[in-house]
Amino acid sequence: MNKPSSAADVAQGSAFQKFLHERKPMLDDMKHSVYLWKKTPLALIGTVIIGIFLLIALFAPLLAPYSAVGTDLAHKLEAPSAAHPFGLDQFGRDVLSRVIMGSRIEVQIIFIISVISISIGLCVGIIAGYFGGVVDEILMRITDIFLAFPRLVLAMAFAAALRPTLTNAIVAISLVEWTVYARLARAEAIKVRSQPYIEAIRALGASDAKIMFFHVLPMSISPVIVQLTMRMGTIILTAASLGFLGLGAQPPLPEWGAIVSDGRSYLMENWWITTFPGMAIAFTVLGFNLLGDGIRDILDPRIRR
Amino acid sequence: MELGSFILKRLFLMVLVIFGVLIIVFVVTRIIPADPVGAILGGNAPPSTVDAMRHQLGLDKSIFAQLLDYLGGMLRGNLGNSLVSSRPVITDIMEYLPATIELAISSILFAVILGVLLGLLSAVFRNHFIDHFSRVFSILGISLPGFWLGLILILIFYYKLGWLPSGGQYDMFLFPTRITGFVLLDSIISGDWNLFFNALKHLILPTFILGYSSTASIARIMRASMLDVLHQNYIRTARAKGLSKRVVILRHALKNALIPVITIIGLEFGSLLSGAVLTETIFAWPGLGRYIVNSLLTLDYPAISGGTIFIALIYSLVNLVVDILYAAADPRMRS
Repeated sequence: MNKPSSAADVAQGSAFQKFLHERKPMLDDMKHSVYLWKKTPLALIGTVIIGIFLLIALFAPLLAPYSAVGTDLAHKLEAPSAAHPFGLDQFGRDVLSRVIMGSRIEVQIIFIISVISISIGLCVGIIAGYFGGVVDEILMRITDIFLAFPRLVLAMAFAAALRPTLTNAIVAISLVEWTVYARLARAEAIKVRSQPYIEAIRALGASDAKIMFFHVLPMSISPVIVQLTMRMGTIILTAASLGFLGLGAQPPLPEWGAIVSDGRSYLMENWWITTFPGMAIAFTVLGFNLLGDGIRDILDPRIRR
Repeated sequence: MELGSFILKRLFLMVLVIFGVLIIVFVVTRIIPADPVGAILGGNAPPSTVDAMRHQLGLDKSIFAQLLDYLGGMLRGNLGNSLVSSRPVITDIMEYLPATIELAISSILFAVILGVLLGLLSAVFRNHFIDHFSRVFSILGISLPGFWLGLILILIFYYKLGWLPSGGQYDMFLFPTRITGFVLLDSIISGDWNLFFNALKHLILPTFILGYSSTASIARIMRASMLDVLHQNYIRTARAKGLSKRVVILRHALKNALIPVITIIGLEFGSLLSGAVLTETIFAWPGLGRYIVNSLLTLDYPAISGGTIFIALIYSLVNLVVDILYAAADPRMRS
């Protein structure tokens, strides 16, 4: 394969070979990333943790030994045992089952917040970066205003004003989270808009909306996605914090932060109600953070040797 | 750009941002809630009471008139009266603020000292035990939920070992003389050493919980920045001149490696204020964070708006100061 293949060679080959040839730089890049991935043990551990987390969420109803909401007052506050490895809570609910079913809520939280906040962020960022000038100035000052609040405090205020429910907590966090992606997308859009090919497309008569959607958006999306993977841990922590404060998921929903809060009054004698869901949060956030760190390291050219 | 005009520009932007903050808080406390009066009075209040309450809160006026009233009040420093304590919100805030400042200062000091030290040692002894320890400590610091870790530490150090108190700013039977509102400072001024050490003991767990994630972030930045600096040519030159490793690290490298840490401290202050909300709730700390949580849970709208505006003001001011410090240290940042 050392001999450089000419265009004629490729044309003679099958369509698949042509496909591979055209994408060789990209494939090489991916191979290199996979190689670096294997060389970054922490990222690997992160991937494994997130994999387990997703599998648990996927098969939660099969894995949970008992109902997550069914009460059994005769056995309330029972300590961990072989039948109930994580013990029972103040209503006799199996803590393990609640934690397992709760993983579905966390996946839901991450997914919906990601979609909403990335959509808002990309819209605002691309419009600001593409048009520049007054539009940019106005949109970025609005972003600054949102950034003037500590994130959790603003999310709490939105959640309380909308009425504390899981859905509203998701909306509230999304309303705070988009600013991160807006700034990134703007920076990318500014880079792209001055490229000669954009000029050429415009000369061909493409509208601004078309250019933004088909040419600027695809170029802006990957740094935004990378940033998102690094923020997922924080997103879960924020959602769990709202749940803990009573401003997120409401009982009897087994959201992890809400379960920690449930066990708070029983902390002294019945430590398990608080301890296990908290560990579930810690492991999941750790997984996302390790993964995010790994991705950052892989993308950082300084360690690409 | 001259430093003076940079500061002026930043101040102008900050005024704009604060105006925006007021508008957002207005939307959150006056427009989004469907029925604030119902929330205050409960669902069964007679219509006459509801109308009287609506009139008292100014909710019977148009949204625009309400906005003007609200902005006018803010300009005069009038944040309204709390619906729970019936006192002016500003009085409440001034009472709770010192406790938060005390906790925030002790946490940021803890985070900066430990973070810089860990980052420095981590970079100098790269891939040695201390580096591994510091990296594990850091990744845990940004991953463990503070509200949960706080409860676990209370379980261990209060319930099991009995070494530290479970919460509050000082023991119930102590009565501090209120001079500045800062308990530690007041106890020193009035010479009440019993109270001083008692308050100090109460400060340990909250400081650790609030400062831990910032410690982690600072250590990570410090490590990366120090590694970067240690590879610079001027460090090699300094070593080649025959200076000892100690002098090179402490005199030449440390100073430059600290510059990125200044920015991260500004950013960390925001997460510190967010964290204060949770930390103060867990440790029954009588500060602004707990005041905001309580007002959110009781839908005390004037208190919510006053508290969030105050937090945003503090946060913006700290970031302004950090930006100015940074611009003073590095002229490239003034563009």
